[in-house]
Amino acid sequence: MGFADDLLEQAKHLLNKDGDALKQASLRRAISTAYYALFHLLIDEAVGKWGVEHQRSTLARTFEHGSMAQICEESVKSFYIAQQPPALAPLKDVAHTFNELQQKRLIADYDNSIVWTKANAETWVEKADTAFKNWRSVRSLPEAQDFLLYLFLPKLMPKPEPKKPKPERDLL
Amino acid sequence: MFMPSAITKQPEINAAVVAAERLPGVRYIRYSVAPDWNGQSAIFFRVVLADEASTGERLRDITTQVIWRMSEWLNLPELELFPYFDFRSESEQATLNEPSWAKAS
Repeated sequence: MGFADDLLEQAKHLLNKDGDALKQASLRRAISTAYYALFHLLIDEAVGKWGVEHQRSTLARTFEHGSMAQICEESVKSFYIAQQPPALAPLKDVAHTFNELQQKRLIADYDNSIVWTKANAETWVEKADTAFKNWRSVRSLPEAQDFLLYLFLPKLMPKPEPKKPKPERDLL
Repeated sequence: MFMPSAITKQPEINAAVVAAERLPGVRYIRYSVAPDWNGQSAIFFRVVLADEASTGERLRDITTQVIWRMSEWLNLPELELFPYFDFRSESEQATLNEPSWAKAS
């Protein structure tokens, strides 16, 4: 297993290590670790394309959390604006989960006024796990490769196409 | 931070909330609009779940459904707010008794 997978396993371990005697420290570290698992998964996938192996760790350090979040937000919006095919929904979910986890990581690490519950922490560690699976199901698609490129070089991200009219949709 | 879309889109947001509250396992949903940690306009949904839907497989299923369906119903590009979701069980909320998570009267 790679580093990202190890981090994900550690997040699951932290989530369950205290049994019923839940500790905020464990829940917070679980959330933070789940975020870094997904962060490193995407970076490893991106820099793994670079041909000169010894330069990959240097390249990996150039990724910025804020820029990556911005690209993920644009990717989620683009999915709906361009009415992309359902086959790309897993990629959209990866982007959405990245942003959610980044937000939650910042709260878990820095905002002690927020109380974490088991259900919420379990949800987001689980979503990280799902994001790993989703990523691996779409990673060979050209759109997924473009997504990695934009995470690495955000300025290359194209503006979304003009919005098409949304079809009427019933709420349930 | 002034977020005009949060005002003009309130009927659509409320409709999506009402629809999501009909999903099995969802008790009720509260939300607030505020900048996220990066300063971007965001909407934060606080979803209270039935206890029996708050662990394991059922938790995975219902949280996926809430996020998926609400993201569709909200029409994100027009909303101009990025949606974030937090979940807790009824018994967790009963213990913590946080007003921001309490059912609207």
